[in-house]
Amino acid sequence: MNDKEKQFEEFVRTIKFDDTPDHSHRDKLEQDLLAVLGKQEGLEPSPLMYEKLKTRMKTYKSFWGKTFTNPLVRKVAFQLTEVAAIVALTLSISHWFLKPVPEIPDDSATINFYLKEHQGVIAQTVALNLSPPQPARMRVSRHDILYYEFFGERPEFTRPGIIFRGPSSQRKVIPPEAPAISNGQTLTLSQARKTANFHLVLPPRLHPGYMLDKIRRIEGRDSLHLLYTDGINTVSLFEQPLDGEHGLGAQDFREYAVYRNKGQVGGAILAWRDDALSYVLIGNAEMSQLMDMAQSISAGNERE
Amino acid sequence: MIVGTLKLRRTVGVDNDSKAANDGQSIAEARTDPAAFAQLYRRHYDAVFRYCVHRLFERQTAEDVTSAVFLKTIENFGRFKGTERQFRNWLYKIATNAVNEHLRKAARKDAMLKGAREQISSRAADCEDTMNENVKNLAVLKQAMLTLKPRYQTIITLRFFENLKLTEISEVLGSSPGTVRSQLARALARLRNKIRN
Repeated sequence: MNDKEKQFEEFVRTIKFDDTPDHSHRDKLEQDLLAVLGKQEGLEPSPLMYEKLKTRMKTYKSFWGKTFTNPLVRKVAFQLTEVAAIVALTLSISHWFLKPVPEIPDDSATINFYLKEHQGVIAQTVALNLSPPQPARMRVSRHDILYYEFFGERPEFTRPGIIFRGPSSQRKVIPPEAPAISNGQTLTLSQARKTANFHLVLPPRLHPGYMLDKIRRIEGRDSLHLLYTDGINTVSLFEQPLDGEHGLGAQDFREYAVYRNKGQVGGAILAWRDDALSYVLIGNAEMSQLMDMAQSISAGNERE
Repeated sequence: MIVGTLKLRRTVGVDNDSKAANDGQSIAEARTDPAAFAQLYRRHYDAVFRYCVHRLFERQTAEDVTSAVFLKTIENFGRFKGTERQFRNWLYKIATNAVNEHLRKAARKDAMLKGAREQISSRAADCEDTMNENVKNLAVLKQAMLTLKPRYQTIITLRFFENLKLTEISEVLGSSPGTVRSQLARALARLRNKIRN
């Protein structure tokens, strides 16, 4: 204690406090405190009880506690938890950044596909206002439809027809009975003229670059397949007699057309007939080239 | 004679009760036995009351605050872990908070100061010659103490009226002994200035 503290202590010693405790207050407060203690549920449990509880908790081990004391199990569990956490985190992040897939509008339409009688039936139906024959129905996308005009020999017989591009996106047609083109012997032009039971018509004028590549006979049919190509694009011309006993039926034509164009982009079909023959022109060339070729065949046939 | 009285004020008397007072056994018994708690209360009542009187300078107020201190003790007794010596320091801490809260009421503080001034002036005017030196010093000390910071009041009271060591004061206040020492020096300097003025 330094001098200042000693001086102050001397000063304090000169002061007499009235600080004698009043025992009556002490006793009264004691009674109040005991009353408060009595109102409480009870004082703290004995420390021995805490010790007993601690000892029990230390000795008690649950099944999982015993399991995870194994270092190998603990390591495996930790690694599995780590992998699960990473996967969950990755999925949540990818889901967060995933853009919603825009809904593709259904732009397909059901159209009546008149192939059985081609132009004749359509023209007859329209002219006579008869009940139309039962059409073959198929669903095609509007993007696949290229043209709606059907060629005729004379303008008054020109009727709407169907020209569509490639296979329908809504339709799978791979018929088991689809006719197969002979991959065997190819015919020369003179051989084709001799073997055909009808007068073969060739286009007198071809689009520049195109030339006749092969002529084949379709097995089991009175039909000829003439393949024109410019080295890149190909155009197939099918000719068959209308009165042929083994001509291509409408279903055959349709299925074959779809079959040939499967997987190609920009394929198109032109179909028409004259008095003796039915023509089908299939190719992945430009539509204008196909139309030129079809008009050339029709014009050449009339001159003959 | 006065010195002897001051010696009796030392609250460390509880340390002389028994060895059990310091080993925590009495605290443990008091948790489960109301009678043991009553004994513990009796051993510490005087110290708490005197501390409150020395801080508040009024018996009635000191008794009220003492009651509040022990009620607070009962509420929080379950959380106290320690020996009886630490229990005594814990009581001082509760009492300090209770007294400071009481003095924090500005109206009460002002009223006490006003009463002290009136007491000094009236007595000086009425019987200046016969005025008791002790009463005069007490009034001066009271006026000076109540103008100090509560922390300085606590340190001076614990040091000079309760005769606690610096280490014990530091336990009560939660500070280091060095800090308590420097704060005690500042408190004394300010108190001396107040008394001289």
